[in-house]
Amino acid sequence: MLRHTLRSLVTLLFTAIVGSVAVFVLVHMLGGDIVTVLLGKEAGPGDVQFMREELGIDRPLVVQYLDWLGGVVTGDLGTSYGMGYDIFDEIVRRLEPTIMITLGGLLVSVPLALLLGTYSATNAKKLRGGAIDVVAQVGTAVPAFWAGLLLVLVFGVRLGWLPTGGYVPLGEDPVACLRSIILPVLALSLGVTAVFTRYVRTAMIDVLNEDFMRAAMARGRTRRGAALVHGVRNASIPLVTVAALQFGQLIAGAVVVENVFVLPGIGRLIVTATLGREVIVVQSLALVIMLFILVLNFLVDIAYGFLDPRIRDKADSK
Amino acid sequence: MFQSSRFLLKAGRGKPVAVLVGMALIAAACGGDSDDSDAADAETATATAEAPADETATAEAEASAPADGKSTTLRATLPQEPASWNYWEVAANALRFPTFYNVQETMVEVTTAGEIVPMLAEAWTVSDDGLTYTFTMREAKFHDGSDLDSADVVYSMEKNATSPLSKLSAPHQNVASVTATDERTVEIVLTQPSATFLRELGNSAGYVVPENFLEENDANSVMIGTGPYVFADYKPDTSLTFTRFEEYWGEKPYFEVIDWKFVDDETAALNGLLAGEYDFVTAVLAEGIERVATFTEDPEFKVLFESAGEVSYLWLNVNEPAFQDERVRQAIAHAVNREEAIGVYDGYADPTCLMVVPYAEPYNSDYCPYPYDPEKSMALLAEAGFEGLEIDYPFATVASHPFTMEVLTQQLADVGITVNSRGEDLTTWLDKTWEQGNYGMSEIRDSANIMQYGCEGGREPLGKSSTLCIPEFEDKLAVADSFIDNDEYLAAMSDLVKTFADLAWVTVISAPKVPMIMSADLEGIQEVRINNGIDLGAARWAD
Repeated sequence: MLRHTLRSLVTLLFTAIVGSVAVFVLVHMLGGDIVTVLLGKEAGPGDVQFMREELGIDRPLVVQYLDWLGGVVTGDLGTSYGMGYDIFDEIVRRLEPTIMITLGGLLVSVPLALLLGTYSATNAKKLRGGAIDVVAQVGTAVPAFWAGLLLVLVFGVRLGWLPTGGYVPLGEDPVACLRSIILPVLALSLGVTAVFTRYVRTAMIDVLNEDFMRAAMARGRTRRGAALVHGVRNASIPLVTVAALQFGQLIAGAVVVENVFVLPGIGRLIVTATLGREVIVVQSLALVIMLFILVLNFLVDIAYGFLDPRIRDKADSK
Repeated sequence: MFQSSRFLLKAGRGKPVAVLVGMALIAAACGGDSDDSDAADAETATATAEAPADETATAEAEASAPADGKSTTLRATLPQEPASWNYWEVAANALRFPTFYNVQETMVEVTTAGEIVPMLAEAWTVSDDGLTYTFTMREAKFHDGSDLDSADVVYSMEKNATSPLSKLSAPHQNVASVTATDERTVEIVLTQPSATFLRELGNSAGYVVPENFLEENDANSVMIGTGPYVFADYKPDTSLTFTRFEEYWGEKPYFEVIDWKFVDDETAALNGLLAGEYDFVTAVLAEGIERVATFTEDPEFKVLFESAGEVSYLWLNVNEPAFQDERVRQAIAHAVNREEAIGVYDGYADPTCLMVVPYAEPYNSDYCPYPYDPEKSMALLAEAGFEGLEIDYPFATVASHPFTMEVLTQQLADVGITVNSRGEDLTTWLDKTWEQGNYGMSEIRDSANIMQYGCEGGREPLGKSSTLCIPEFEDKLAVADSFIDNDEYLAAMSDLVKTFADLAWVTVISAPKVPMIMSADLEGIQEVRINNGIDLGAARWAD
């Protein structure tokens, strides 16, 4: 088990470093830098060079990268070139809206998908079961921004029930906070719910044909009862994996949704920092997100070891 | 367990959506009956409570209640956000737009009619030889509580002269000295007369800040000026809050708080306006243009069209061999159908052939050496031996540029020119096209000064792409600014802009108007902006 854990940890760190190098290279390939953004069309060539030297972005790329990495190791993500804010503090400040909508998205999606997927599976040969599957398929094809726009038009503009955008921090006004995240959460969770529903449905149909299900029914359980007591539990184990993987999709969706709803979260920061060529902000954000997802997957790996002894034994035997 | 699960399954039939809608209803109900203005007030009150810049003004803004029941907070959207608030090194219009006039003020003011009137300098004299300007400064306070004096002006002028931004520094190139002769008098001596110097002191080159402001403050996130509003609080990607400066030297504005929200998505901004979350969408530049007509027909809203700020034009790379033949340049100019091109702005633009910014300058005219004439364009190309010409056309994928690209590509195709267009995000475009010169032609919409197109015109050229260095143009450029007599200056400028149009390196297409959409009872918003600033000093609710 220890060897399995260590191996996962090393893989995690290696992946994070490779990912941060990839982001660093890609952002530099875009062309332009923070000085281009700051001075725009009004700068003379001498001034551009002077400012690049001032900011230290005239140094070789390898030196710039290692300088940033050195800071990361000592817990310093650096400061932004333009506004001069501390990147770590800014990321922390932006986490709340992003966590609210992504976790909110999961909290809506997972139970809803379990309900819909199970219902669809237990009625797979009936019209209503098939109808849920069709709706779920359509749901996977609906872009989050389009869903967001429709929700805004209906609930924000037409009915005036909820704000069309903006975010109120939880500590400032919990009710206003809830109001401000309902539409983003719905927009974000729509596609994810559809994916989860289809996954639960497939897993549940497989489980329903297992011997232990027939045994349960032979002992007097109804098909629906067996599905609820034994089926959901067994179908939920792989759902944990899918949920962990889908969390990356949720963050990607948050980038879009935060822009549609003008939420000052991590997703919006990624966009503005990329367009503004705040290279170390983009790198730091990418690293934090990668680490978050990798840690999540790492925990899932570890959990597998506990949940399924065959995986643990296989790892230990190598 | 079984029973409850069974119940859940049964209840789940068609219920989840109802549950979610129910959540929305509860949340909406929890919002109570507080109107949006109250909500905005609460938000800004919170924001300003954190502001260190002017706690007194903040407290007063929070304490005062609207006398007539209307909110004294103006909720407005900004389409862009600058990378920093350091006026000395950030060129973005996004910085000037909310802060010019409201937070920062200049030595003099250029009115919408083009007149130069006092601002921080309450009076001035110019020597007969046009070389010495003596300014008498008014009594005013900065937002940090310090008094404006001549030492602040000397510091500001010397700092502006060394700015990496040509808009700040170029007008100071002919300045020999800046001297404080007493506490309220400043003398500026030039090395040669300049017709535009005083006018430029009404632009960014004339910004006045407290002495040592740049050295003693984090200018990236703080701005201190003498304007009617205090730069009170800034939250990146979220909001910018101004509070009324109670010690302002001039007439105090009506609104106590300006609550700016950064909303770069025009659809979101217009939806928020419709939902009553904003009072004022300050600029519609791209996809929102199509919705402007619906607001003009709605009695709850008012649409004003800001004009005179910018022109849209395509310009050619001076290093391209094909463009060295003036017949090719003329052919391209003749191929542009301006009436059709303004369709990009849904008609909210005036076709024009001259590079005159502001558009209302007295030396503007309807002179147009190369009007739309596709036959003549094709004939010129054939005569020059450039039939089947191909042009590389990178365009910025922001605002109206992609739409303009589509129109121009089609118009040039109609005369047999193949345009290879490629989209680049704005920063990439600025780097690869503007700075590195990797393009055949491109299109831009800005307030570029014709002076900046010369290599010997006394100004730093804007970029490799814009350095014409043509003797005929350079000679006129060199002398135009040196006339002290206004009539002579206007005649020289009129001649200069016509010469510039004749050269056909730049084909000016139109002067777009920027729709500003607001609540119908909002008054005092100027339709003509000078220097990209939106002056909210006169804004108020209708009685």
